[in-house]
Order: sequence, then structure tokens, then C-alpha cells
Amino acid sequence: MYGRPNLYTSYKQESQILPTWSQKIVLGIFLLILLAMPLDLWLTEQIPFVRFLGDNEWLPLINKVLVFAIATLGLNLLAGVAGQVSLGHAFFMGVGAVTAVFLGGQSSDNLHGLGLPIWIWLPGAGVAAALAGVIVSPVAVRLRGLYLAIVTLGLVFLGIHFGNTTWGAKFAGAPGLGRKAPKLDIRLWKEETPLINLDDDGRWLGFDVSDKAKTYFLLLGLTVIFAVMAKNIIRTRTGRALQAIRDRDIAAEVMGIPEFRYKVIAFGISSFYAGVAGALFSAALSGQVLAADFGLFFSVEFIAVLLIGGAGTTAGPLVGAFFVVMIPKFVETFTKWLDKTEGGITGKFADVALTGPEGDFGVIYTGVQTPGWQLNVFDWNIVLFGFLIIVFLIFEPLGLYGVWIRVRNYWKRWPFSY
Amino acid sequence: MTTAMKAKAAPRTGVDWFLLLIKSVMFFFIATGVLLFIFQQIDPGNPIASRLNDDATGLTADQFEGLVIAGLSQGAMYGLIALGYSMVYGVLGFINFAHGEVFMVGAMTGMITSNKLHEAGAWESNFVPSLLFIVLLSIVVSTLTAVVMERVAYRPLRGSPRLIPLITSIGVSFFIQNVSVVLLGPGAKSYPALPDWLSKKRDIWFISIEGTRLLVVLVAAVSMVGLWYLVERTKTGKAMRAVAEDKEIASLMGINVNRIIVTTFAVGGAMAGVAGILWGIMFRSVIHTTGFLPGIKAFSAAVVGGIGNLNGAMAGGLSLGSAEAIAPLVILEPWGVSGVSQLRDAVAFSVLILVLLVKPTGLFGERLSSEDRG
Repeated sequence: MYGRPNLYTSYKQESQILPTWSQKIVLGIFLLILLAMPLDLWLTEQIPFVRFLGDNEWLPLINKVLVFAIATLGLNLLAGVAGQVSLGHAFFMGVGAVTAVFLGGQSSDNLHGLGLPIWIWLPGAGVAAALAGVIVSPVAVRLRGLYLAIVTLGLVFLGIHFGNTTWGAKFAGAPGLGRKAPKLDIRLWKEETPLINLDDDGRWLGFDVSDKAKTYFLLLGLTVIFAVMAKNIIRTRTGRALQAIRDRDIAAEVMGIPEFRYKVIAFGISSFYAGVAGALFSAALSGQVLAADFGLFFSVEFIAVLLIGGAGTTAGPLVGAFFVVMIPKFVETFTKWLDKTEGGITGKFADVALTGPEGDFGVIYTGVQTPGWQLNVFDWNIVLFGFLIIVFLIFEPLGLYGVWIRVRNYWKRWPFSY
Repeated sequence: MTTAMKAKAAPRTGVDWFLLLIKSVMFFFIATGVLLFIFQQIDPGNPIASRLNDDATGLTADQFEGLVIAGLSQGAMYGLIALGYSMVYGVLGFINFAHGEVFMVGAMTGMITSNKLHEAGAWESNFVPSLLFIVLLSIVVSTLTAVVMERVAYRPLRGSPRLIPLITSIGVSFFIQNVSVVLLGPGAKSYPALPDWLSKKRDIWFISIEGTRLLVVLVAAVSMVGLWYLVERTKTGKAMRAVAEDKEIASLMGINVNRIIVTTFAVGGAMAGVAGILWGIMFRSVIHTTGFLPGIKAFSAAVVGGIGNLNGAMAGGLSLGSAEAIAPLVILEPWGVSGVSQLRDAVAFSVLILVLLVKPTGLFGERLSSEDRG
């Protein structure tokens, strides 16, 4: 099929994950680069961007991208594929995180914990969140659109309040303080020395790896597994049923798709993803479980990731997560770099755009946040974030994925315009 | 619509059984809680009451009265904010989450102005004129906030799917909170002390009520009557109802739809401004997150009363306020739940979810768009 990627000769070929050879090769190379990123190799030294991101300073952010990608893949199954917009994703993540810390954390006077290894607490977190999702799902059959969003929003607040009550605090830690997240180390059972240690620097297969790089490999593996799972769900019977419900639920039911069952499935799977992501968020990123972390802002952030990346696709959440997590850091780095430049065009630009603590006029304030008139880099990030959502909603509803499709189709059809 | 729903509901599916189960569990929980509370009122030591909660003491009549009054005055405030949600929903069909922030802006304006008046000495010497002044100023500022918000954030998105303005409004709400932090700093700020003749307890007929709470209820009642007059008896109100009914037909009838929508936001903003001042003189402390939780609860009140219905918003506010004041002690305490006073907010959301499950149209709701409800 060389040169005619739009042409499929069999149904089997069309429903493949990667229908063309070029896609297979590109994805393979991409995965290899991802694998080699944190390692000191001749190859990674040659590609500046890869070496840069694989640095120890940037790896935590990449890890955040991966966790966000897992969470958004779950939200995508619910909101993008099945069309049930939920603002309660943070709640399910919180359920996952608290379950994980109950199963994997250490118990003390005022905290419950069983101290089990990761291969129990990670799936356990997913299963507990999935159960919560299944319990909520019948609501989705009775309420649609805005009202479903409101009920799930209520869940987020209920979750935080229960986490802060005296009996909720036995699981989630004291309000405002939280508790230590479970360890990522891979153990068989509760033995002293872990099978694979993820806490300090070490040597794997002849490469020097830092603790962050080890976490990165774990998260990368999980992300790939979850992405393939999501893709498979979307392209098989379940996914087609969910899409039918999204497009017109009554028509779907007339065609013999049980709405109730598939909404339960959608909520269950999506919450499973959310639970795992929540557990990973507390264990690999923040290092603590704190009920207040899993608030409304989190839910909105995932909706934003989904909308910016492209709802209903598997690649969308991955690209969107990268975009949303990295943009603030890029803006910050750029501002810092701009602040240091002297003279020339960049220096002029810095004069106009930035305000130092000594306070000449400029839009971005580079000092730490104080009550004053200027917005600093952090505030501008939030503004930028909201702005991006609106821009994508108005101009490119399919998100970054839609942009990519347009570019690809342009080159595919070149020199013809249609 | 209703016939279709009835036809659909005739054979009970899995969902119906599940919802019935949830409903009966909740009903059982509430009914048992109330029963236990009654037992415990009769005799705190009786075996049924002390089985679940050993140190239950029950409430005295004074305590109960205090709870009801606190709940009603809080609820009146929720009702005032809920009016804004309800009106915007009625006209535009989307939920403006940033409305709570308009309320916060009103409270903040009152805080700044009253402190300035306090420094000038006018707050003590001429209390009533200065109170009127801060109410007026707060109405102006919050109305402006609401109008600018509509202009900048919502008008460009009109015509897009309804979820998009919802998400935008959450963004606007975060934005206004952050602006407040940037301008005024992150700490809690307080109102100056009120004169004694206002805040002291007084006995009216057979109840004793704090003066501030009485003021809150009175102001809420006056605003409600004013709003009722505006909506039911003036030409603008007629135009509002027409736009809520059908935007296109209304514009064909010569109504300036954009102006009516702005008016709706402005009136809702004014109500929120009044509510902000009431919050200020009742709790005497504001912070940038003040608007968020009352806003969400006021929204719940609007849903409980039947969203889009103005009487419903007020009734919903009152019932939500009293429910969250009374329910923790009457229903949860007899069940032996510890730390009940922390659960006020959870109760508010449980009421919301319960109402949406049992009667999605709310207490006074009539017809609802088929897009949102199954």
C-alpha cells in the first residue's frame, strides 16, 4: 500500500492499531527515544531536546506528564468516547490515592495502613476507584449533560470533606498535612530489601540511572500498557457501543445496546484509570496523600488536557498532557532566560515584558508573589491556561490531534487541494 | 416528554431497581436518624438511643431554636445568591459558576469601604447611612463585575455547546479569585465591629433572634419583593421572561436580546452584592475563597428549588440552609457519626444529589429541556 495510506484492502487492516508500516516504524523509533531519554548514551547526546528533557531537572515534569496521560486516557474513555462529561475525575483519583495509601502505607497510632507491596496497592487503588465509579454510574443514566457534571462536581467536594473528617483522616492523613505516600519499590511481600529498589540511584543493565529515571521507566511502562488498553477498548465492541451511546443514546438503545450496562462499564474503566493515576500521583509525584490535592482544579485540568489534546482519540490525551504540563515550565524557563538577557532585540523585549522586584513597567513580574499590581509568571500561567482552552474550543474542537490530522491530510493530498 | 418518560419507566430496568435501592437506603438512614433523635429527646439514657451513640445528649429547645434561626438566615443569603444562578440559567441555559465570585467581590468591596468609613469615624457616628452607602457601592461594583464577565467571557461563546461556558465559568472563577489575591493579598480580612444595638439579641413575639440575623432575613425579603416586582410587573421583566421562553421569537418581537441578557446578569450581580454585604456583617470576615463554597451551595439551592424558578431559588435557599444547620445534629449525631459539625458542607451536597435523584425538577420546577434530563 505504498503511497496510498488511505486505502485499506481488508477490514482487519483497517481496525489495526497501526494500519501502515510508516506508523509502525515512527512509533517504534519514538518509543526507543523515550526509553533512551534518561540514559547517558551517544544517541541522546546528539539530539538536544531529548538530552534536555531527559535531564534530572526535567524528569519529574515528564513523570507528571505520564501520570496526567494515564488519568486523561481514563477521562477520555468516559467523556470523549462515551460522551458523559464528568467533573468528578479528581474524586476517583482521590479514592485511588487513599486506597493505595491504606494498602501500601505504614500504620501508626492515628493512621490505618497495611504495608503491602506495589503489585497489590496499585491494582487495588484502581479497583476501589472502579467500584466507586460503578456506584455513581446509575446517576448518569438518569441525568445528562450539565446535571451529570454538577453531581460529579458534588462528589469532589464530598470526597474532600470526608477526607478531612476525623474518621476520614485515619486513611487520608490529617487535614492540610496529609500523610506519606506508599513506596514505589517492588517487593514480593513485606521483606526488608526490595526486589527492585526505586528510591536511590543505581545501575541497571550497565547504565547509570537516577531515582527519577527509575520512576520514569516504571511510569513509561504503565502509560504504554494503559494506552494500548485504551486503544483496544475503543476499537472493539465495547468502544463502538460507547461511541453509539455518545452520538445518540436513544438510537443506540433501539439498536440493541444496553445503555445502563455500557455506562456502568464506561464509568468503571474510566475510574480504574483515575484510581491508578491518583495512586501514582501521590506515590511518584507529590510523595504524600493529601485530600485537598484532589479538588475541582484537578478535574478541570483534566478536562482541559482532554480538550486541548483532542477528545475521543487515544493520541489526544498523551499530546494534551505533554502540552498542558510542559507549557507553564517552558514559559517560566523562557521568562528566566529573558530576564538574564542584555541588549539586542531580546533585551528590548525583556524591558517591555518583564518587571523586576525593583519595579520598572512590564506585564510579567519576575519576583516572588506579593500583593501588588503585577501578575507574576505563575498567575500568567493560569491566565494562559484558560485562554488556551477557549482558543481550542472555538477554533479547533478536535484539539492538537485535529491540527495534526489537518497537516497530515494536507501533505497526503498534495498537490491536490481535496 | 412526560408521556415518553412514563412509557419508558413502565418496565423496571436495572437502573430503576438500583435507584430505588439507593433511595430506600437514604430514606431509611434519614428516617432512622430522626426516630433515634426523637427517642434520645424523650430520654437520653434509653437503650435504643444509646446503642449507636453513647454520649448523645439531645438538644434543648433553645439550642434547636438557635439552629433553626441560624439555618434560615444563612439560607436567606444562599437564596439571594441562588437568584443569580437561577436567572442566568433561565435566560441562557447554562450555569455561571463565577457567580459566587461576584458575591465575593461584593463582600470585599464592603470590607474596603466599611474599613475606610471606620477610619474616618463615620461608621460609629452615622451607622445607618454608612451601611446604606456600602450596600449601594457593593451593588454597583458587583453589578459591573457581572456585566463585564458576561461581555468578556460568555458572549463570545454563545451558541457553543452548553458545557463549554460551564468550563469557562470555572476558569473565570479561578481568575477572579487570583486577581483578588494579587490585589488584596491572601489573608482573611475583617469588617469593623457593629454597633451594639444591631448585634444584640432581641425577643420578638416568642423567639429571640440576633439583630444581624434579623437584618439578613429582612433585607433578603425586601430584595425578593423588589425582584418579584421587576420580573412580574415591569416591561423589562416581561422581556426577560420572553427571552427565557425563546430567544429567537423574542428578538422577532422587537426585544433587544443582548440587552436583556446583560440586564439579567446585572440584576443577579446586584443581588449577589447585597448578599456579600450581608455575609460581611454576619461573619465579619472575608477571604478570596469566600465566594466559592457559598456559590456552589447557592447553586445547589437553586437546583433544590427548581432551577430557572425565582420563588424556588429562595425556597431552596431557605431549605438548604436549615437542612445543613439541623441535619448534622438531628440525623447524623444519633447514628454515632463523630465530628458532625464538620459535615455541614457534605450535607449540602448530599441534599443536592438526593434531590437530583428523587425529583430532578426540584421542589418548584416545572418543565425542563429534554437535553438535560432523561
